[in-house]
This record gives sequence, structure tokens and C-alpha cells, in this order.
Amino acid sequence: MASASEIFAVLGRIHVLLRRDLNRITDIEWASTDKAYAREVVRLCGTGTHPDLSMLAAKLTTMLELAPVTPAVAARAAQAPAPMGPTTQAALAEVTARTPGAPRYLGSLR
Amino acid sequence: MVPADKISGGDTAWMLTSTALVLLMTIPGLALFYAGMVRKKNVLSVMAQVFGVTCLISLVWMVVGYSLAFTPGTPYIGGMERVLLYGMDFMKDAGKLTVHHAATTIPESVYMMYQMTFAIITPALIIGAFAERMKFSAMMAFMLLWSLLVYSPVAHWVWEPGGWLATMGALDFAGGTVVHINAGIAGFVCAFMVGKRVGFGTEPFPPYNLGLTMTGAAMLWVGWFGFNAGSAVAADGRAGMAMAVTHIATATAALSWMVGEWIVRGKPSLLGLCSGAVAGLVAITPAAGFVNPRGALVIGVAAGLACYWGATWLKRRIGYDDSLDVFGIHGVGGIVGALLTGVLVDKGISGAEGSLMTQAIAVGATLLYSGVMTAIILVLINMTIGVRVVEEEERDGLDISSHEEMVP
Repeated sequence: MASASEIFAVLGRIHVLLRRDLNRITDIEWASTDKAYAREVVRLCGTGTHPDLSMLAAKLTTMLELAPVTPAVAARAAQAPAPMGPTTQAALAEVTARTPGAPRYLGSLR
Repeated sequence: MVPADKISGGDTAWMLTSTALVLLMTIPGLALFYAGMVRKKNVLSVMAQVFGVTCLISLVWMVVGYSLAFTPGTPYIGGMERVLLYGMDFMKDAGKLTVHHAATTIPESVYMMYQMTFAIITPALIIGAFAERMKFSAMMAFMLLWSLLVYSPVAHWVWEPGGWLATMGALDFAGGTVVHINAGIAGFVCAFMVGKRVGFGTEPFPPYNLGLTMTGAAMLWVGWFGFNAGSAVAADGRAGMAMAVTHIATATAALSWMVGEWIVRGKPSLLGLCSGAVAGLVAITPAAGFVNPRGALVIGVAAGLACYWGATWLKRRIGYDDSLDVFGIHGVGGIVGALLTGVLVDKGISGAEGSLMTQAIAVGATLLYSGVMTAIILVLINMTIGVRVVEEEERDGLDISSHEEMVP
């Protein structure tokens, strides 16, 4: 299995490309430890248009020794809600920002 | 040049300690304070900027900054007698060393180092205003020019005995005008001219880790004893009183900010407590050697509330993106402290008499000069290398786009 820094490097690149390409935010720390979440990240890579995403997804699959996703598994995953990792502060803030009357950190830090 | 036995061991020991304390305020105090408040993707970039400025200004100060600030020259700028620190001597065999005319009981090397730490933290404060969007190269170029063209002259005006504001009788014990108003207005101008962050006002910008911010604020508080009490340039009763009033004003300001926030938002926050404490530290800075503990209480109450107003209502009303509220805390707090120094000065402590008008002139002169010069420097840099990263890099985060590093 690859070293932690190599995994983080790949996940970091995937994180940036998914944000640019699909406006999706990923939790790379969670992806490095939870295989189900990492598989979902790999699946998301497959829906992107950036040419590097498929290469990075394949690399990640090898590094984390993820089982290949069969068509049946992919079909089930497409119907099931995406597994959620521990809520990052960013995700929490996004949810909070959508909640009426809770404009924390919107336009001002204090 | 004086005989070595004219030096006070006690004063020197205290000033060596104060120098270390003030440097600790910047690295890692300010670095942690700021890093905890930005978004995760920009944490390392803020730290790199603070660290980079520390290194850069250390060199600038040694080469010419100290000479421009702390040699007699004219009332507006010093001379070149201490370029590359030529003339600052220690001669062990002869038993002689140089002292600065404003600090005759400590070696000049210690005085120069102490003032260096002030020269370092002042531009470092400005980083908070343009955090998350400025190019690292532009930031370093800006800081170099700002230190030479703004910090050194203003320090000369206020702290060199022949400086025009010092001659006028302006009171600034440890840097209300020289450090905080100076950095505050520079931050205001930077925030305006660099422009708002992408997504400002429409996307939430959650702070990365307020635990880091609190750790940094605590280091600032303790380090500030070197900042204020050290400005007595002696281990004596005045330093002791400066330490006492610093602590009282800080604790009071933290509580008054907390009360204001509790009333307005319905809950007290850790960030509010930390911000209030820093507001108190800022406001007591010019007054630390001139006021008594009762005066410190007044300054603390005023600073907490005024800076809370400055970082919230005033900022939203004007509509500028000062990322970490440099003007709201350092600018507003510095102005409040400088003006109240003129009102609350205790003649028994320092022998000085205060004048609100003189303090207002010092405040106004600093705001005007620093504001205009900051704008000119930014225009020059923007015309040459550009000040801002492109939108894609800003969205990716400066950690990756500027430094190819990231917090896991």
C-alpha cells in the first residue's frame, strides 16, 4: 500500500479537480481512511470531464486497494444516497448557511 | 560609546526577555491567531506570509530600517549613520559599547533588536486584511517597501526624540500610532484596493480552527507584556505598572466585547473573547506607560465595545472585505487608545501631560500618511507584478496554488 503522503497527494489533486469540474467538495482525510467513501470519490471522478480524473481515480483505487466497482454495485450506489463522511467544518457551514436565520460567517467573520 | 559598567544588568536582562516575547507574538502568536481564522485551504499560506515577513523585515531593519527610524536626521526621517549597523559596536577588550540616546542603560544591540521586533509585527498585522487572495511575491514586495517608506518614518516621528510628533508632545508609549493605527489604516486601504474575495457575502467562509486562534491570542497576550512593559526600557516600577494596566485593559476588553456580542447575537463566542482581548491589548498600547489601573479599566471597556462595532457594524456598513478585521481591531482600537491616552494620562506615573488635540493630530497624521503611501505602493506593485492571484487559484486555495502544500 502506498504511503500516507502519496495518498494525500493524489486525493488533494482529485479534491481540486472535482471542485473545479463538478463544484463538489470532498473530505480527503476521510477518504484516506474510509474505503466506502473513497469508492464514492472514485465514482465521482468517473462523472467528471477533466482528463486527469480517470487517471487519478485509477491510481487511488490501486493505492487504497479498493475493490473494483462492478456494474451491479455501481447501480445500487447510484440509487443509494452517497455515504457521508464526518461533517467537515466546510460542509457544516454550507448546511448552516442554507438554514434560514443562520448567516454565520457570511460576509463577516465576527 | 560608553564604558560597559554604565550598562544596567537588570534593564538589559529584561529587554532581552522582552525582545524574545515580542518576537514570539509574531511567530507563532500572530501566525496561529490568523491561521485559525481563515478557511482550511489558506491556512498554510497565511503562516508562510507571516513567517516570510518576519525574515524579510529582519533583514530590511538591519540594512537600513533601523537607521531611518532611530538616528537623528531630520524631524521627518532619520539618517544613514547606522546603515548595515555600522557604528553599533561592542568592544570587549576596551570595555566599551554603544548605546542609543533614548536607552542609555542597555546595549544598543539590544535596543536595535527590540525595535526590530516591532518593525516585524507591524507589517505582519496587515496580512490579515488581504488574506486568502494576495500573491506571495506581491506581498513580500509590498512589505519591503511599506517597512521602509511607512513604518520607519512614522516610528521616527513618534519615538526618535527629534521626531516632529515627539517634539509636539504626542504620547505613544508602545505603538498605538506607530504600530496599530499604522497597520490598521494600511489594512483598510489594502482590503479596498485588493478587492473582495471571490464568493464574499454569498458563500460562508468558516474559520479553519478557532483553537489555533485562541492559542495565538494567548501568546499575543503574554507576549504583549514584552511589548508594553518592555517599552519602559527598564526593569522598574514603570514597567511594572505598564504590565498591570496591560493585563487589566485586556481582560476588561475581552469581557466588554463578550457582553456586546451576547446582547447582539444572543451568544458569547470564543472568537469574540479572543478578539476582545486583542482589542484591549491594542488600545492600552499607547497608554501603558501613562495611565493608572482605573484608566486601564476605562480603556478596556471602551476598546471592547468600539472594536466590536468596528469589526461588525462599521465593516458591513462600508462594505469592504477586511478578511480578519485588521482595521476594525487595530485601527479602531489604536484610535480609541491614542485619544483616551490624552484624556486619562496620570501625570504622577510619567510626568507627562496629555492633550486630546495633540493626540488627534498624531492620529490624523498617521492615518493620512500611511493611507496615502499604502495606496501608492499598491498601485506600483499592481502595475508591475500584479497583487492578486487569479480566480482559479483563489478558489483552489493559496496553500496549493501558491505553495503546493496543504493541511491534510
